[in-house]
Amino acid sequence: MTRPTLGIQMLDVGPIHLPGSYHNPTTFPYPVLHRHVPGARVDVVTGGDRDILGAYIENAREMEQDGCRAIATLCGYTSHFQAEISAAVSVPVATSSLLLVPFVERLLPPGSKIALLTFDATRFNEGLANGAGWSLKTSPVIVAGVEGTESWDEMRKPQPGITHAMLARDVMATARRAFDAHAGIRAIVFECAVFPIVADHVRVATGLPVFDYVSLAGILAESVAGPAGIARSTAAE
Amino acid sequence: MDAKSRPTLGMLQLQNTPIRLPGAISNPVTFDFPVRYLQVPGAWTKNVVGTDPGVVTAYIEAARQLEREGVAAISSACGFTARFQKDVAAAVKIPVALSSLSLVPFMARIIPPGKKLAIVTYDAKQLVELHFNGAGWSMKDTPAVIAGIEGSESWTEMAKPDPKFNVGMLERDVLAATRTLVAANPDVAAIVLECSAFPIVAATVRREIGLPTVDFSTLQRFLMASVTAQASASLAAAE
Repeated sequence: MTRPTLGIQMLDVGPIHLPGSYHNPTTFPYPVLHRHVPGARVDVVTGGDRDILGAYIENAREMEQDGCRAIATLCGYTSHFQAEISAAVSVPVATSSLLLVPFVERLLPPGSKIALLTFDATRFNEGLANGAGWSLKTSPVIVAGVEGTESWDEMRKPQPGITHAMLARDVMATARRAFDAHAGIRAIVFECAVFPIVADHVRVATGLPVFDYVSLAGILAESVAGPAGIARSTAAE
Repeated sequence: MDAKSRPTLGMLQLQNTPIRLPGAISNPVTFDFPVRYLQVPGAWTKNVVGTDPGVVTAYIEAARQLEREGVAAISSACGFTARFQKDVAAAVKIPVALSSLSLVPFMARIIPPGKKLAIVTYDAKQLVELHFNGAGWSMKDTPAVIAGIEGSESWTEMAKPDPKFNVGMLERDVLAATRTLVAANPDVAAIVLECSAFPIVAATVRREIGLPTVDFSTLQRFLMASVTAQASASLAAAE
């Protein structure tokens, strides 16, 4: 059996199979092992309940024992567990695309802002930013969430019935709200691990660089297994 | 989607003859996106490595030229240009990532707390806080240790206007520096390769040292992924 490049710690909810979803086998061009973290329901994790940390740590240790060379955690609201989960295993762990914010900030002209599009802005806080190595006080980040939308309602259900069109509409409406309220947004980071389904849609619609959970997983996977696209691109020459 | 409309990476090269061995960032076959290479006037290994401020204007001008030509993002072919990151990013509207040193804060976060990051560079004696600050971090609060290939045959060749070296030479010199660093620091948990030539041997380093390793081409793939929509998704978005 091929050793999984990446172990994905999933929320304890039903899968979303759309292209671009973390659960769609075409999303990651390397071997991936999916595991649910028992009890990691959306409300528990996005509510900041620290009691769930033990389940994440146990799950991460199992993933390491099962051969995963790196671990990526769902959802983006687990960034405040970054140090603890990382300390529990010897393979690299990335809990959240929020980890990319300091890097993205550096790519842009000084004075630029980053739109951080999230599942629920009312549940976003400084602790999540700190866990990922930055602060809302010093980083030029505009947090905007899809709370109250149909996508948000669906994502809170045990089996989300989300569609590409629904998510594209709700994420773009959220992005536009951020653009209307703040000049100088030059990049987008998706906190939510479901949003990569519409990452290319948002890239085309906004013309801005978009960084997400799939970007995060890509660096992690390359660090342990090398670039996944090389063989394909060389063959295409 | 035709080839011309595919997002292109603009890469600012030195005047030294580019190294095009397999896996090199100056070899276009390395990437699955198009690359527009531009050699920056007056930029040589000898004045870019180190802290000479003179050549920054040429980098800014070259970046502006690439932006006018329509590239989607800009990178470089020497990690020491990290010290120009802020000035070049300020001069254009597209994203700019000049050095794999920019990946250091991220890599330092994904390893266990208390572990260290190893940075393997072209010349450790000349890589200083100015470069780290340009890449968005400081040695004061980052658990990193550094080794370079200075004094090696690869180092001597890369300083020449027309470097002549091969994969075996580079493997030997980069592995020697990395092994010495890791032996002296057993708590190293990941490696960042600074030098733009090191992607040629990154797979060897990853295999022989057995630690997560990222390099210049990792940075450039990551940068381009942020601005590239797959053709199928563009169609879906247009519906």
